[in-house]
Amino acid sequence: MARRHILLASPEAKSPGAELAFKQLSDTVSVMPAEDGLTCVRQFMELAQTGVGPLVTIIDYHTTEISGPSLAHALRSMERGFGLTPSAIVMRCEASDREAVAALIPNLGRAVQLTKKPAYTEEQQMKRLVKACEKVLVQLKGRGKR
Amino acid sequence: MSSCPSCGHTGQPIEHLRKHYRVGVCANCGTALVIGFDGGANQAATAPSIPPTTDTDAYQLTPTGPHAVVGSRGTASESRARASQEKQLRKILIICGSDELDAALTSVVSDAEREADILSVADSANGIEVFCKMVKGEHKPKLVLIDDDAGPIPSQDVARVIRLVEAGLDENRTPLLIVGRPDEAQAVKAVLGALGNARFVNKGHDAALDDQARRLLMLVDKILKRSK
Repeated sequence: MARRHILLASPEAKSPGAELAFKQLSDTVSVMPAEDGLTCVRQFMELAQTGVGPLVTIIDYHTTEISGPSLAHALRSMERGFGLTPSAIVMRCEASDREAVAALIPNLGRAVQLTKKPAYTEEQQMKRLVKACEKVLVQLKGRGKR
Repeated sequence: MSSCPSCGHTGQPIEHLRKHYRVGVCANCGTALVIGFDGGANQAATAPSIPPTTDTDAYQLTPTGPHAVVGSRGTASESRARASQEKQLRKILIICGSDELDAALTSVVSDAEREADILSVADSANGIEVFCKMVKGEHKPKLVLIDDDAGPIPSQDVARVIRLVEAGLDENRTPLLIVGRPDEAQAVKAVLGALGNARFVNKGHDAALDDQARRLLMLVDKILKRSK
């Protein structure tokens, strides 16, 4: 069974909490952590060269080097340019950015917004993100099993 | 009578008469066996150089035989033609969000009869898509001109993505020309310095659009000339 990937672009992507939380996901899916936008694009290119893009891309609204919205638009453009199937985008944001992200989502297509809960710890935030990912994977109707 | 070193055939070699030489080739595989200097005595006899034999095996080419050179010359000219065709397909990619500047550029380009040399897109997201398609199709643009008002992705981020795409595909760095406002020059130049083969140019809001477009096209030509 071919292994599919989740791209995680977030300043907390390489934290032990994130690694631990994502271990609960399916065995056929592995996570590629990227601490900033540039690393995310680099990893996307690695996948693009294999001819199969990521299954899900998780993008923090405030990623460094390349901002979250720019990164999301750039990845969509690259998917179109290289003829890859569009990945599902999970755009994470703070409560204060909720409206800006809500306006952005329809332009991206196959994307979902996840607003962080201010009262949650980092560990709880990660667990919530993993749950959201599971739900997205279910919606993709077995694309991860191909 | 000695045997042929290539095929071991022991029959009489077929003699070909050239302007100053007599060449004896193996009747079986065509390998040259004897070459003799004739001093031009055979000049009159060179015309009927078809071997006097009905044995069609004598015309069978071998990889190292006397006719092998024909193939390699053909391949070289083919590759030259292909390279020239690819050069013609390579264009200047313009990512320009401002309709006015785009119209002025189009007008200047059409005055110079260079429409075929230019590919213009109005949006930075489309610009990245078109760049990826061009690189994938092996017609990488000669230069990418990026206007700072072009859509959802800022010009310096477009430049960074272009460099990462090139790095991922082991491609050379395409010259980049970013057109922006003077107040953002310092920030953009800091990014471009790290990217290499990229240049920032002020938009020059005071100048007429036609003059701006003409200046940009001149700058593009200058950069292309230098990168040749």
